[in-house]
Amino acid sequence: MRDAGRVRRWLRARAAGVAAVLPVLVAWEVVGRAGLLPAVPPPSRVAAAGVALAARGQLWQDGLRTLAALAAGFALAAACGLVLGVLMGRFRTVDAVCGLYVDLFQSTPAAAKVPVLVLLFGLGRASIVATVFLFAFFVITVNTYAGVRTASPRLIEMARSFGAGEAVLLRRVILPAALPMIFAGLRLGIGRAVNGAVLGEMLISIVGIGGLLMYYGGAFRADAVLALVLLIVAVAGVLMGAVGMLERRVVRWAGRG
Amino acid sequence: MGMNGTVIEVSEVSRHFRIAGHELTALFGLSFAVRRGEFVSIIGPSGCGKTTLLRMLAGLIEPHGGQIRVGGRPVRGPGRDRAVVFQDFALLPWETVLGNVAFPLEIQGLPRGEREERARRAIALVGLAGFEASYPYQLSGGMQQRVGLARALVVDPETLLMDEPFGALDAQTRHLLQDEVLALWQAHPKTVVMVTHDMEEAVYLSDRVLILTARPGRLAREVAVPLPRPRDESVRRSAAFAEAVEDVWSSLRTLVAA
Ligand SMILES: Nc1ncnc2c1ncn2[C@@H]1O[C@H](COP(=O)(O)OP(=O)(O)O)[C@@H](O)[C@H]1O
Ligand SMILES: [Mg+2]
Repeated sequence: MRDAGRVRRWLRARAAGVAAVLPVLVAWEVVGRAGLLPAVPPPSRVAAAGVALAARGQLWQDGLRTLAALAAGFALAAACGLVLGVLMGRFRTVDAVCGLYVDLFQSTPAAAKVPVLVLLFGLGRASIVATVFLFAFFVITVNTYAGVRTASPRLIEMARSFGAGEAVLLRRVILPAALPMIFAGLRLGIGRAVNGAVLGEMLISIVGIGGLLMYYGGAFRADAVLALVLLIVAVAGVLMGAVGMLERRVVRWAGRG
Repeated sequence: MGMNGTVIEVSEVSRHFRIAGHELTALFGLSFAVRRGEFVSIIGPSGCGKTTLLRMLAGLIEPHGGQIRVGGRPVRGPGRDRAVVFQDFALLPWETVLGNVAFPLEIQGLPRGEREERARRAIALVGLAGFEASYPYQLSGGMQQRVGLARALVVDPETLLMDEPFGALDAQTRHLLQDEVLALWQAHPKTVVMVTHDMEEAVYLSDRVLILTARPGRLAREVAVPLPRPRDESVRRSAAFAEAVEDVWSSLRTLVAA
């Protein structure tokens, strides 16, 4: 009963989104069936290709492989990005030393870093994890840094006046103040991590979902390619949604201060 | 040290700030003393270093010249003998009233049960019983400053340092809180140093009003308030009150004349 209510509320909240998608789907189906653009199969065929893919074990095996690289790379990026962002935000020297590199790396086109990673880590798994890491790391670092800098000097002074040391300050004043920015960074980071995983698999070693994309692309199977792209979009969406849910749980007070 | 011994000794204190390569002297050669249990107000033109003085008393920044002693010892950093009430309340927006008031005890490492019990008592003391679970954004400015007051009282400090504690409140709320601070202080005497720009507030609450010069701040004059204790709201309408306020104003007007 309560679940049904929740589903209904969820649907109602997303009615506008559904209404925006439907006409596009219909138009796409019409264009596809008319055969005007050979590279655009109708959504019904894309769906059928998706079902066929899912029926074979290959997709799950490759999907898991991609997810594993994604999880490893993102976890590393989140951990390192949080630590570096906090250090840069709290210590001027760290900021001076690392800030320049972070800005530099962040503005380098991500795809240009991939060949360097291949040189460093070879053509295996490590390179793909490293790609995911590099794609997600900087945005998490920069957002954490910005969040730490938003912590109010007045609140820091208040905590100090009651005898707080750096550890209490960080845990009870600075991190809570930085959380909204940190979560924004994690959400952006997860999107980029998915990008990095697929791009790495396409450019470095033809494995995982990226590998499947390359394979079906080479075979001009537009329906299968589109099905895979939709799958990737869905996975990225779900992961970002999960971060958002975690955020709403942790940052109950956001936007009320 | 007896009941009337000196608690705070400020001797020839000066403090500079560097702003964009310029040296700015906020305070220079400031001296005064506060006795135990005394309520002292500090008033002076804006920018004369009142907040700077309070931050030095709290141990948040150091003097560049002279010395500050509290309880006989030179101040080296914040201490449990002092607690600050901030002008802008400085409440943690992600904590409830209870969490905010218990925060200093949490810093001291007290177990949760004990700190919550003490926090609840302090909250009741400032008239906020029933609001323990509210968040600051749900409270009016006056209620938020009551939380700030409870947070300072919860550590049971010997000295209370207040920086324009009612400056951000509207006139009616300010009046009410002044009455409550007066009643609280008369029931639980503490040494209080309060910065204010409100002469009536200074006279109403204080034993002594210290008037500082324009920057760099020094002691211009001190006015002993001749109103008897215990005081209550009716004091505000007495002739002696008006006279004392006039006395403070006559000193201040020459200092702020721009
Ligand atoms: N952290 C700081 N950095 C630079 N200048 C400061 C700082 N704090 C205070 N000042 C300067 O010192 C002077 C005294 O400031 P303050 O103590 O806040 O005055 P008041 O509280 O009496 O209005 C002002 O001119 C102010 O600009
Ligand atoms: Mg001030």
